[in-house]
Amino acid sequence: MLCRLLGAAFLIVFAVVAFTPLVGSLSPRAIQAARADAAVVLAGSISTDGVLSDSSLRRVIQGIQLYKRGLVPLLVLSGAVAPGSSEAETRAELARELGVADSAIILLTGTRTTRDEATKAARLLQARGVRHILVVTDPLHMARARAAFTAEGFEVSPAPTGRPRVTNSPGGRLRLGRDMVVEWLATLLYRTSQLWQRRTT
Amino acid sequence: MTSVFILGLIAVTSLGGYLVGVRGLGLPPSSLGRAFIHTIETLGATLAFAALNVAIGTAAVVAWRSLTPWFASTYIVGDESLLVLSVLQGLTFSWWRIARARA
Repeated sequence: MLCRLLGAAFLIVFAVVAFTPLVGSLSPRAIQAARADAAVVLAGSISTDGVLSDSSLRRVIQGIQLYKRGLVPLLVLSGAVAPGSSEAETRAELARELGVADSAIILLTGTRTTRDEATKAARLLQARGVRHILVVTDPLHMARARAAFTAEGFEVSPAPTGRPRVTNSPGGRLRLGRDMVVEWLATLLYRTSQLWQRRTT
Repeated sequence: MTSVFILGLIAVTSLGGYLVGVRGLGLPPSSLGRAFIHTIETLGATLAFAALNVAIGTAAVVAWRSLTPWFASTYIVGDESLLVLSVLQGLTFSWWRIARARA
């Protein structure tokens, strides 16, 4: 009986997500970026042969655009490390090739989680007097990222990347739905660990 | 437009399957409802396995992070292969129940 109920619920959710515009209407909208002291481009991922993931590439291009438009004087490039390749280094190379001054680039290497990025960025940037930052990440990840950086004492303005228009097909809506569920779970985990930390300190 | 095309395609091939079943294989149309219920139960079993895999996987990653100096990403539980394997688990579990009922 439980399997039957779960299966029926699954079918209904599948039909609503895949064949109605609901998930598209729930996903965050684009925001106009403001002027700030620095743009912090959050990590995506990099393959072991040094190729940036689509998400990582979209984020760094957005960061470079913010710098080139004169909205920020500093570009902080965060990145994971894979055996034989560094995301932050690869992004910095791309930024330099696209005209970002070497002196404007700050690397955050070996970051693992969003909170880790916020803590390391605070250590690096607050010593330089940076207070107001633009956080560059995917729209779905923005709420969690904003909370992590605000908790470190930054004034945060969101500068989300655009999302490819995949929501006009059932497959695209399913992928967007999956990404939303993953982000909700990550936010739940983040809040639980925050509560746990508050209790133990 | 894509949705209409996909739903139309599914309707046409389902009708074809129904005709082959009834006329070619002599399957009774009255048992189609029971077959659909088995499908729903299999989906339910798949969902239960998928939820268990995600919950236990996330707990294992969190425990690994806090008990060892090595890092593991929680995004690992979002890997598509986990969904395919959950489908296999759900199918096997469902067929196991059917096999017992037939025995």
